[in-house]
Amino acid sequence: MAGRSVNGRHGLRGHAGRTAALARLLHKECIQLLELYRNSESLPSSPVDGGYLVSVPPLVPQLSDAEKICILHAALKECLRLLEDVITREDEEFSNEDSEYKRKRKTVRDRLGHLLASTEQLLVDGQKFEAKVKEELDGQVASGSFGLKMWIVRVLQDLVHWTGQTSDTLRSMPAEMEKAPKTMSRRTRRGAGKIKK
Amino acid sequence: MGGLRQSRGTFPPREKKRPRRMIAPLEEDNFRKTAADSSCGFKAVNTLYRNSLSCGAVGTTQADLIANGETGEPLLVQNLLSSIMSLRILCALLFSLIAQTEQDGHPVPIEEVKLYSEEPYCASSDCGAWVLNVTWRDKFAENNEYEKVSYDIVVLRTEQMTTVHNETIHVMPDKTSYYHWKWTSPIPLQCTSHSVKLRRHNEHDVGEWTPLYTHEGQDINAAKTTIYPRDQVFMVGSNVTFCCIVETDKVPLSKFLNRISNRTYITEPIPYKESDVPNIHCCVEGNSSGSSVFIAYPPDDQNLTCITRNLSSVECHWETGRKTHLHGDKKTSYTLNGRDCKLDNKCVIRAETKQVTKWTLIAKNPLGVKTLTDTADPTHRVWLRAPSDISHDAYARNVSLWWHWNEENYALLPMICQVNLSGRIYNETFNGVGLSSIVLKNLQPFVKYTAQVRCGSLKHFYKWGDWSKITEFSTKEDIPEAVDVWIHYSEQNTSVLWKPLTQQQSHGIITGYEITIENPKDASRKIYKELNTQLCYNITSGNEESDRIIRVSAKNSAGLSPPSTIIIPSYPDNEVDISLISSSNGSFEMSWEEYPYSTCGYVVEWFPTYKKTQCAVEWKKISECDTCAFDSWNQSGAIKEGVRYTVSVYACTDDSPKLLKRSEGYAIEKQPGKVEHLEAKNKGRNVELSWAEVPLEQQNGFIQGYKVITLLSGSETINNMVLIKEPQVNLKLDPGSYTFRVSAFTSGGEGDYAATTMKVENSNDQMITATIVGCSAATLVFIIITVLCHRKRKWLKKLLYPDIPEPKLAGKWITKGIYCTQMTEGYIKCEIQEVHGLEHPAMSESLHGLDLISSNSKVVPAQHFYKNFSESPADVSYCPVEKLTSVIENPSYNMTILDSFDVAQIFDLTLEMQDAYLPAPNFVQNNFVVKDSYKPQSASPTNA
Repeated sequence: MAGRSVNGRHGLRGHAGRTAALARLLHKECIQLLELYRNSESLPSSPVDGGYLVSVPPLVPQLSDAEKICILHAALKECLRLLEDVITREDEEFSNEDSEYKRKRKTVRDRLGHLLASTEQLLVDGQKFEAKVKEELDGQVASGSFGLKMWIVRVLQDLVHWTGQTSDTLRSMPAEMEKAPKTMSRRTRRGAGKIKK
Repeated sequence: MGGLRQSRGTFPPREKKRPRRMIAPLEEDNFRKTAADSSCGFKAVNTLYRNSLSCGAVGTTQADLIANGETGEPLLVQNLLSSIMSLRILCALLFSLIAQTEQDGHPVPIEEVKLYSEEPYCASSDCGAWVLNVTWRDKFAENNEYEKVSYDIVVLRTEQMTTVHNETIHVMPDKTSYYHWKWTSPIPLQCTSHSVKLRRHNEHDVGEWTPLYTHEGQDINAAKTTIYPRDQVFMVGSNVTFCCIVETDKVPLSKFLNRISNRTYITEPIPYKESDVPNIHCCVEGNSSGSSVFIAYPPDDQNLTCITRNLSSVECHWETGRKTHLHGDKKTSYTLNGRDCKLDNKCVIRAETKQVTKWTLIAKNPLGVKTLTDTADPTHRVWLRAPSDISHDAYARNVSLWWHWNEENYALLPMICQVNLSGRIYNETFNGVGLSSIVLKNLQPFVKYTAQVRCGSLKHFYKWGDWSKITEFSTKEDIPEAVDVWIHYSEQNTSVLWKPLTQQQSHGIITGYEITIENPKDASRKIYKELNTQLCYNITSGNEESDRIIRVSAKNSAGLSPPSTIIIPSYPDNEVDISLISSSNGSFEMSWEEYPYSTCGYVVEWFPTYKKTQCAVEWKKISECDTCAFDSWNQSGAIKEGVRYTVSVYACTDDSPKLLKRSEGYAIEKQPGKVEHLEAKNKGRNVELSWAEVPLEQQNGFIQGYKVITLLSGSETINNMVLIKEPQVNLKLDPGSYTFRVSAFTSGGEGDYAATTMKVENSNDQMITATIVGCSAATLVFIIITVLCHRKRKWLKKLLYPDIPEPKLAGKWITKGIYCTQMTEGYIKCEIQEVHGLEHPAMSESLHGLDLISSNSKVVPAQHFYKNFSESPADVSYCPVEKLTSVIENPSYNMTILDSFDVAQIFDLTLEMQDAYLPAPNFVQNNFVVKDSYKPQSASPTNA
């Protein structure tokens, strides 16, 4: 493992700890961002139906932490892409005046970029995984502005979910990482067929 | 289609007999209207309901029942509803036949009725249509060209058959016989189906109603929960009514409270303000939906102004005004003379030069259109760009500036240019065709300048163009200006002084001064060059027989300044009376009579009176005053406070300066310093205080007097305070210790005090004299009294000490006297003398002159005596009376030694004597001798 050999055991653990703290912070900010958006748009606080936009295989216990991180990294990457779509579309369609929501949105975007860079360093042997997105922004045009807003809520819900998942996984990771194999097990690799090297 | 003249109102009077429906209040003013020629196409589905009016009433009732029976009534009610429905259909068929029959009898002239809706601007289709268009053809109108025709139009919500609008319109006949009427619904037309019927009537006849023509709503075939309107733009302050079409048997949870059809619910009109968030949610179990609309303003752009900057294109600018709150594809779009503009406040189009051109800006957004126009000849609207690449070529007193124009068309344009020179507009403008260089004159040598250039059209000046970038340059050095020279005479020396040149005067860096002293008599000349920073030169005064001419020049890299000349007379005339000058608002003001021989004005010179620094002299030259008899000078600022100045006025002549007046004074007086050498002398109670004046350098003003404060030493209580002008004072004080404080004061205040202490006492001579006089007087009086007493001693004796008459003894009496004498060895010897008298006169007479005096002596131990004497009188009984009595009984001189003795007995005896005669006994305690004070002169010779 390149990362392991470079950073050493303790270095990796330290980096994982910092990444976990970053994920935890980002998770809180995503919750705040969703709350700000709902308040600014007077939208109901109940979750929007339809499940999460970003789709990945379930994070079953049989997966190693490295595999979980790889999957979550892919999910976060899609979240960042969706958030950037949201920013672009919102600034086009709605007011681009400065607001607390806009400032928080920028903070979340920047921090999500940092989290992605940080989790990327935890990936083992350059593992890659591609997450899927169920509903893209283009499909929301027909449903009008309200549909777009609902879609934005869903993106923010995904952000909350996946940053929370990442935070939880990273927090439990350091002890596990010491025991984890340096390469993916055959079983896991078969199970997560979409993971590429 | 002919034009319509609409009127709101009721049906004609004769229609009152007809069954009428209540007409809902019209709310079309609250809803936006869209131009009739909208691009939206026909979307109506024309359905002919062949129900008669009366059947419609039945239908409405039934519709109401249907509306109320959706929540699961009992089976009986459902059966009843089924029966009513069947009856309604039957009734409808029956009345359709009847109506057809009536139409056959009175054919309805209105045909080709078409209904269609038009949607406002919105990004997505089917966002909500509010305007219902109705067109029809009146075949009777073709034949009655001059007959005024009216149409009654009724709009109903089809499902409930509720009339939502009725109106009578009056139209002029039209050969085309096609008519068009539009109605704005209070709810989107998609919410539910709307039906329209018309009838024609003129002055004489009323036609029959047409069948109902229906515009179908989306509640008929919507597959999921749908809200109208959505994604539409409304004006700030609008009241918007939303409808939610739900699936059959579903009910929205909130807001959508009013049911208008089987599947459609509407909200109350919602007023929207500028800051409101227009999102509405239709919560239905299992299939919710929502809508967002936009609350905005129409365009508010103003002040379109078109100019040309390059003479080939026109730039039009405008102010956007109030925010519209629209963004993206809904924001305001602009077209200028039909061409789209990309920016929100500026648009560029090609200019048609030398022609008056009209520019029209159309600002458009979903809420409205605003048109702005501007008309001008572009050549009258020239706004030149900034000159570029500005450069310079500087000399000592002028500079040339060059620049380039980036626009080719400027080359032939007559223009006027302006220069901003170091922050100030240069007082000259420059004209020329395609001007690209200018020369600035009258600049100061050796000065840094900044310059900017801007230009405008000369022929039709519109406004100045942009300023060029700033260019910096420095002019070169030039010879300095002549220095200001003066001469100062002191007691011993003569000095030539000159003032340093300012930056504007020096025209460069002054490297030194050059002095030339000429003696015209012998034509000698001395030149002193090494005076780099010196501003004063002492001229040794010999016994010159002629005036000397002094010339002073300043020097810089460009050369010497023109020499300044002053003449030193061989015999300076400096003798004038010195007067005092008073200050005026912190400055000196001198005035003097005009000197007739003054040729070049006057010079006022001033210097500190008490500072004998040679070069600390200032002066000011005053130009000649031709008309006034008095010249004056006022100097402030450069004069220090509390310093005494000597101010002199000289007349400037062709010869040496002539001293006219000299004064001394303070511009601003301050508190003086302390007085010195304070001394106090006293002569008895007179105290003389004296002191020396404040030193001249410390006076700080004209001393107006002194303040003397007398205090009792150790106290701050002022005993006396005196203000005097002289430096001494006499005070008369009571004896005591005093502190004297003396301070000088000027108009600037009171200075610090000097203090001394002195004790004031009475004179010794007086005391001695008084004592001697007193004693002498007392002695004299004593002598006089003594002499008088001696001469009158008999009289006095008689007066004061008359002879005592002999006692008249009536019986025997005893007089006792006790005499005690201190003995050795602690014993006191006491004697008791007794005088025995006779009770009877006969007996007394026999004893006359022979008083029996018995004396008993007894030696008593002193301790015992002391003891008994010190004891309280209560112990009087200690002495037995019998023994004493026995002693008295023996009139002879037999000695009886008492065993004990008690002083109380003595008292008793004495008291007994007192009863007999005055004065009181004299008891001498310290000698322990108690004597009877009475000593009759006839006593025994032992007493005498």
